[in-house]
Amino acid sequence: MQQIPIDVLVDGVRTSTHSGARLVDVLIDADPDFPHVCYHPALGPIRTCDTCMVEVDGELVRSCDMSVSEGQTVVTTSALAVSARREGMDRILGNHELYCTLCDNNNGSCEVKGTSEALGIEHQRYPFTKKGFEVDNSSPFYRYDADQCIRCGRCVEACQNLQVNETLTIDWESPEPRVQWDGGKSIDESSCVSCGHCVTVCPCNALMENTMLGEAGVFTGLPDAVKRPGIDLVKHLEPITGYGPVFALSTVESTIRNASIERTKTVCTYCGVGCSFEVWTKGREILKIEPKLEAPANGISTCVKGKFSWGHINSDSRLTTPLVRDGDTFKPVGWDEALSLIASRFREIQGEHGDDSLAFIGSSKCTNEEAYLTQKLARAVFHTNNIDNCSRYCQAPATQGLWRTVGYGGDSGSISDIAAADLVLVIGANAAENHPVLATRVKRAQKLNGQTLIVADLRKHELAQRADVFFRPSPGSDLVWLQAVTKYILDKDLHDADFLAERVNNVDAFIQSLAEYTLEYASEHTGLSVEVLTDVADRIARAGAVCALWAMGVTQHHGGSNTSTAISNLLLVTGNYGRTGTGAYPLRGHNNVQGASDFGCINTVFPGYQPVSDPAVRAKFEAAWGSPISDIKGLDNHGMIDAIHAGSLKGMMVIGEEMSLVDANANYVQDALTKLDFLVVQDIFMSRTAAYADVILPGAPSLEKAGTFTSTERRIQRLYQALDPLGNSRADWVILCELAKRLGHSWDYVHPSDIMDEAAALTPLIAGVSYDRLKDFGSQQWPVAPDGTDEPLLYTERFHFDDGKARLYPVSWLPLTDVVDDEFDLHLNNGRLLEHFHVGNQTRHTAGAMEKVPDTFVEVSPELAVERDVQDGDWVRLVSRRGRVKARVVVTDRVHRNELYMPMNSADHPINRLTSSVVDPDSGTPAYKECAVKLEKLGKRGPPVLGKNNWRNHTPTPQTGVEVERKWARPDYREVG
Amino acid sequence: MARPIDYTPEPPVVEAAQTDLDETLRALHDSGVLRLIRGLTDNRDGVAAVAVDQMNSESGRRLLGNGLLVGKTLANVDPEALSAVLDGASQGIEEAAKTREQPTLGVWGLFKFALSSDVRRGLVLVLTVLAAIGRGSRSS
Repeated sequence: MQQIPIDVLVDGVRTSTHSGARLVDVLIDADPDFPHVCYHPALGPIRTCDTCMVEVDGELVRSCDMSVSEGQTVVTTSALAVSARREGMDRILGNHELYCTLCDNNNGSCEVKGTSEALGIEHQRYPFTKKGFEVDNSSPFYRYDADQCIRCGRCVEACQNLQVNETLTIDWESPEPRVQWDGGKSIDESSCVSCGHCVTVCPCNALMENTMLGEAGVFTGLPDAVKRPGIDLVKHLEPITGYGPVFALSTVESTIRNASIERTKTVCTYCGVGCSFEVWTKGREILKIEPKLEAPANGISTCVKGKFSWGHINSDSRLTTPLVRDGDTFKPVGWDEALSLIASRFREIQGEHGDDSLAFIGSSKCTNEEAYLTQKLARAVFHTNNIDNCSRYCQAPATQGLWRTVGYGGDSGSISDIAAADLVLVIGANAAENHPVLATRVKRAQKLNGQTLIVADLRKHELAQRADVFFRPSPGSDLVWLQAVTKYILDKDLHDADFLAERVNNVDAFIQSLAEYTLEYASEHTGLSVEVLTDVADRIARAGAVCALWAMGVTQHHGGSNTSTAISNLLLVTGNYGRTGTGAYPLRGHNNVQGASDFGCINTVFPGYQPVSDPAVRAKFEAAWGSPISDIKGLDNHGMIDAIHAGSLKGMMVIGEEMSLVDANANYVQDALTKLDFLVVQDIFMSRTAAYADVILPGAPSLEKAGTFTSTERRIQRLYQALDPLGNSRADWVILCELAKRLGHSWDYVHPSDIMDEAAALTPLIAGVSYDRLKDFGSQQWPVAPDGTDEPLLYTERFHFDDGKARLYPVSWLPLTDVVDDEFDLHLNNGRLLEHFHVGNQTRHTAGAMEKVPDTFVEVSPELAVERDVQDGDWVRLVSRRGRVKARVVVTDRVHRNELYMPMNSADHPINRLTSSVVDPDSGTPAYKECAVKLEKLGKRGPPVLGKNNWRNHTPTPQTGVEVERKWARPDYREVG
Repeated sequence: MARPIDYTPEPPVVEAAQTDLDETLRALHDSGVLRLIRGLTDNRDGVAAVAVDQMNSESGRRLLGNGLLVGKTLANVDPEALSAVLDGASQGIEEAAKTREQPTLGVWGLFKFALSSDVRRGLVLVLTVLAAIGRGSRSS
């Protein structure tokens, strides 16, 4: 809707704004102290608190619930408005005991205290009385104190309509309404996913992070036996002194406490959504994660990992000094000894076996600057292109599919486009668990705006449960139904003919390539009915704007690149590129897996995907780096393992990558690692890969260094250093510089911004990226022109090919490998889960994550559980053609028939002992999802892995929001004013 | 052949000589004393600003003014004289408390009591103070 500039009269002053603006926003702009409590810009009007009342054209209204229009007369200072606001606040204070000086939320941003002060509240009109509820301390992450709750309902609105987990409600009809979890359960034993939204938006201390309690304030750690008399004393003095001196005292305390609390902007270190927020630290102690409205990807949203799982930072298990293999143990050594040993051994191997006898793995957990230095170390110092990163294990096929069709190997729009789409198609992606904050935008758009959600997946995960259309194709058959749907759309003339004519090449050849993919052929090979296929096709074709989201369920297949290509082809045929609400979104799995590739940790390309095979590109980097660069194509990480077995690869450096567990066919990988002459592992923990190392270097996690990450939206964001590296550990970029210096290369970068400046100067894709432009919560989405202009939405005018046109790219189906037979009769699917990240090397150090999910498990369908006579908690052994693992059973209808699912969150029972070495021929990505197993009962039963304290075992309580009308319908409710 | 090694890294070792000092510092840290000192030191400007802001309010100005007046008055009083008066007042309060347990005096009893030298001395004292207050209020 077009915003027209208008004027309104506020207390006699002409105030410029625009049509449709929310009145409360206009008033806050004019006076930041204008009272409001329940209103939050991320949530919209909730209308429960009545503290923002004003008169508009003579009528008393809630300013949060009023849009401005030309000529309106707004009066905030009338006796009626002042008295109404005062009455609203008095009612709040009847529900909330003021003990600010002893409150952990007294951090300068408590909205109950702030509004009380703004309204000049001096005395309590309605006495505070306890509501008679126990404090709910059941969650390992946060607590709810109903006595302090003002029933504003922000938490409910956030849970129902922003996170859309739909757990929280308020029982307005009860004598003492309060926030409820699943209608009256404890927090811990409810459907709550611990995303933290409710805690973030709570305007007081009713909902608090456990890590803040007793820690944030100077006096809040005092025992209750001391605190309570103190609170009572103040309550006795309040009628005499008024709240003025009480608030002043608490403001002094707040000022004092803030001297020892650092608030540092950082970027989440888990998935690829790119959430940014502040981390509050006191010394080394992490008090909390504080989301900020201005965070470009997530706003105030977080998931359980980003909000609460930071136990790895101060874990006792952190590596804090370099280690060198010494017989059958490791010996702590100084940095000089460790780095000199690495330099001399790598040079020996290089001298004896050649440049390509060495290989390097960069980390998707490390920064862009560290990725840049890692590939520079390989290419400029050791003259090898044997450099790769873990995108090879996950999203390289998606990149391949996009390179083939549209040109850039990244999401073609932003998360805001996904939210704006009319239809979202999710294929092989459990976004609600693996990209939780991004999934909230889909759930919200579906719930509030009627967005259509289509999900194709083997598992009925949360998005599948919510979908308008959910179907389960046979494993490995996504390409078939995608091509059939595309063909049907073309055959029925439902395609975007103008778009194809004007913006796409190779249309005729592509149409011919689809001849085989009839609906009947697709039905036969996917197990889907023709009706489902035509329904999906019709919905996609008729939707105004479509986004396609996909992840490992597509890419980790023998035909991952082809299926990714087919998705992009479908989007092109339906004209779903280059407009708001359209595009292709391969959901990147790590915080910086996009950046690790962007900054050149790939065997074939320099930073910005500049080909190593191009002599002009090589010459540019040789000149800049002052070192010759090999033109020999490097090995990818899977190829490196083969080369070790073949005897040609002798030395290796693995940075922040649990290669021994996450590469497919782990037995084969681990066997290879034993054969290396020299292995260096740089990590923050003693990983399973580090166990094979000759030298282990202690790196630093995200909070202990500065740098940038690039998220799935191609969004580059800065993280600032919040803590010093623990013990004798060092930031990874510092380690790389020190190593390069010992090898004769004077890398004298003083700050990561120096590295970014060098990378930007050599890389057209990020030419205009600079730390100044990325300051604080600033961000840039590549490609970034030299003047700093970025592209949140790609292909609005041109596709990234010389002629500016996209290419329909014919692909064919590569059927499933490792198929089931009489012996290996079950298909094993595998992946991540919400509570743990990847194999859990970080999240296992957060106690709450371990309480929620203590171990891995195998999901068995109810029908298979009956057939095999297994129940929850039964230990079983899964045996594939490569290896075996043990796990406990979880019986659930998330899987069906002979499908099993096993999450990868275990170092003791790693899923990749079972997977095969088969790779997608176009990307080298392992076919992790193609695995046949047999299930053997072990005759033992343990406690269920997913207990009563796991959200998966509970049923949410969806409603439209706070449902304030039910409050207004109470017999004891009367309007303010 | 590099066999995998099962190794648990040791947490950093603390020097024994530092123990006493560290424990003292730890106690000061845990109790929040260090934090309070640091907070006050680091944020002295902010703390002062809050204090000044509060004292500059109407009630704050009254509190400050009254406090200063009381101080000024006390500064002009001879401590020995005040001591004698306060001792007497203290004794009077104690004896007054005892009267709660005694039967109420009749009119004749009250007359006799008023004629006692102690009551007359006390009356002179109170009346002198009242006269001074009256004088002071007239001149102001």
